[in-house]
Amino acid sequence: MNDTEVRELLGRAVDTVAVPPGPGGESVFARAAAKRLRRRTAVTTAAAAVVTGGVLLGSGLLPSTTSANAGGRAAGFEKLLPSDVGTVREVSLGSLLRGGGGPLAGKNVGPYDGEYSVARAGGIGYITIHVDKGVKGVKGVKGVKGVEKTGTDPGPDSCALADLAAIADRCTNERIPGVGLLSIWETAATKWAVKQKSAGARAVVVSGGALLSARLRLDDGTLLTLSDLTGFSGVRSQGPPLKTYPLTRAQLRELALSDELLP
Amino acid sequence: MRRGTDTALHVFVEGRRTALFRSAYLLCGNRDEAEDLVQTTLVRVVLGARRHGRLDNLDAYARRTLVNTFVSGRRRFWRREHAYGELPDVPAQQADNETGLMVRAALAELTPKQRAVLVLRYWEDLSVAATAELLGMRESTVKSHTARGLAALKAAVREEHV
Repeated sequence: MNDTEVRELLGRAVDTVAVPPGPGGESVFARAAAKRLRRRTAVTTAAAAVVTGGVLLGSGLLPSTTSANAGGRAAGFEKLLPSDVGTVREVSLGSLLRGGGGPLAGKNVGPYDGEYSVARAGGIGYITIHVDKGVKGVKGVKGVKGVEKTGTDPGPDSCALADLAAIADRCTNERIPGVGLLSIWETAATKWAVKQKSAGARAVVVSGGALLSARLRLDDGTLLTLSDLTGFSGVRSQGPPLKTYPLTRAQLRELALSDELLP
Repeated sequence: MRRGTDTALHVFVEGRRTALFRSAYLLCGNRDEAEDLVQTTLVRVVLGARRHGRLDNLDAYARRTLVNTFVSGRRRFWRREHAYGELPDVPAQQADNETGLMVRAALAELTPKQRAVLVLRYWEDLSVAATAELLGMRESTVKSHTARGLAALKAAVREEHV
């Protein structure tokens, strides 16, 4: 059976059926207008609910839905940050960036492992903390592993990892005596993006803001990774990115070296 | 600007409704359902075109919306697949009508995706690559769906001539 014969067969299946007169093009536009109105009403109602909820929560009339543990962790984490950093909340940055799924890193190991939003001056930035125990090698940004084993050797230079070198600017290594190797680098906003899960076939790419990262590799193989992100734009963006990093390079260094982040 | 967009959309809706209905009918095998599918598709196309402010390639956009709406509608757990049971619109005495019924019955036996592949490949005349891209599947999957669909059609035609 060739293509023409198949088409002819399909044609026979449909040729005997009269196209219904239908409600016509006007009804399509009427339905489209009604749908748009419903969407707008829903958005307005949702916005009103958020405002009302915020007022009630702020006044203490309603309990917050955030679990005590998560709220407590954000409050505890905020104490480790400079007082003028902004308002800190625990969020799921993985969900915000990718439109679903769990946290960006694996399961929580450290007491403050997680993803936090930092709101200040009308913008929203993010800080993420993640501890890996007993890492045998050095994880690159795409999961590429380094070559050297852990032990007394603090491991290879993070800045020299091939995949990191392509996206990192101003990468510095600092050997902290008795602790390990601390690497800090910046990634320009134009050098990274995240592909969101999408409902249709078209994938949505979220553009991120500038990113400051720190990685502390301890002598015992523990790896502490911190990300300091100005924010991101996209469908699930919580607000405009900050003009500066939530933490300065010096503040991020100080945070990376605080014992409280380690298990 | 908005008036120009609306005029173009009106022209598109009026001009493409029949063609979309025929594709929808092949997918659904039911006139009422096909009409609903076309209506839903056109509403989405109008809303999408206005939202994105783009009018280029509305045809492809409508085709994609039609097929995706059909496939996702069939995926819903409350939706039951009904065997083809519609009465023909005119008395089924001519050979063409017999064949048409057979083909529709054969299509109804296929999975929604197999049906979509056949309609896109042979009715809409899309290539394997374009069909794969539109349905978000691999080309090899499109080929296997095509083979199964064609086998069902061949069997239906053979049965008719026995």
